[in-house]
Amino acid sequence: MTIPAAPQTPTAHEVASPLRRLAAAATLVALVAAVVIALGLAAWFRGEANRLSGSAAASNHALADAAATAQVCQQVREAVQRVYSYDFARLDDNERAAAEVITGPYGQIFHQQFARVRQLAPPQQAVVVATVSALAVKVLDGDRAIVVVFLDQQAHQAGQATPLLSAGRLAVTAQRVGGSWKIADAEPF
Amino acid sequence: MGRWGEDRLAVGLVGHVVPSIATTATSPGRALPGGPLRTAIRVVAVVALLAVAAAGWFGVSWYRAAHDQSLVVGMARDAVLRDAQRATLTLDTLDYRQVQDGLTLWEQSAAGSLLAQLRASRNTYARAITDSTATSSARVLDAAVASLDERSGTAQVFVGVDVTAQSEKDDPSCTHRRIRLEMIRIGDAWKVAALVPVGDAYSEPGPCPAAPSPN
Repeated sequence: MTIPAAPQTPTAHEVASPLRRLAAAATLVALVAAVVIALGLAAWFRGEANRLSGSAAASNHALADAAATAQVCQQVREAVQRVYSYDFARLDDNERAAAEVITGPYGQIFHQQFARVRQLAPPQQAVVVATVSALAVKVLDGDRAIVVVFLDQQAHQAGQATPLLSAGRLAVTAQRVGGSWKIADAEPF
Repeated sequence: MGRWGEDRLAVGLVGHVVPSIATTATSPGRALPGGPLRTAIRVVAVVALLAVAAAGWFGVSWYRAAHDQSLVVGMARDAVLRDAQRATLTLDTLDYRQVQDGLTLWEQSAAGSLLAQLRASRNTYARAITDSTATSSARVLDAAVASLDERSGTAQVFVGVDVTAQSEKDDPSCTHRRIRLEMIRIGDAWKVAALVPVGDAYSEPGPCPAAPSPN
């Protein structure tokens, strides 16, 4: 006679009871709430991070990258002073030196303007000295920069004891070409 | 003693005697009551883990962005530029028919030594403006921040501004100005502590050219 196997005794935790079911439901609700809160937080964090890193400030490194800003300031200052200075006795040198710090279509505009200088400067024996009196980088984004320049020019002419002075304002667009910053555009304002 | 299933009493967790709803027979493979609930808990627990991980991941990227020093400087730079341009317009605008309001606006844009000077000379300025019957309006052409010390809250800005001035006696004239502003941070705003011309300004008759119309 075989002894019938003892029936599987359901242990207490296998028996569904209203209380355990309540506890389980409460756990489920808490977990769902956690999911909702966590997803809400994740969405907010992502939105804020995107807003910050996508803002205009993020792509404009003027002043934020101090070393790059200083390099732009120094090279654009020298380039502007070179382009806006000339000496009637050394016009070939002036034009060549200026062309070295100009890039792009602006080169054509410069040579056109310099053609007029070649006409007017020799009879007046004009010597123009350009000095940057103020300069600040407005935008610095990779290889492109926009710089606000205050430019003073002193024009000495034959027969004039005192030079003519002019106070100029320039919006300069600079492009980094082969490691050095060159003038891609210069607009008076 | 009898088979468990026939005993309709079961002791619950808290020691209560609760009616058992155990069924009389179980067969292997049959889902336990509360099984769907337990499966749901497991699934939601996994989702919760993923959601918390996502929150953590994006939390880190937010923290990094919010504490990125170059971003902080960039945003301060933009705030300085905005406030400097607005202050330039205010300080180059005046109307002899509304002197007191104008001077109050000037003082609201100023801080430090400029504010002290405006306050000290307020009556003198009011009298001079009223007597001159002068009005002026301004347009900022371009501006850029030259230097910024985020920690001490100081900055230097160069601004090119055109000012149209006229009075009852005189025709309008346009002055093309180049100015340097020393800005200091007061609370959330940047105000002008000093306003200094850079070299000479260039004046010519007639009102200043208007802004080019957007195409």
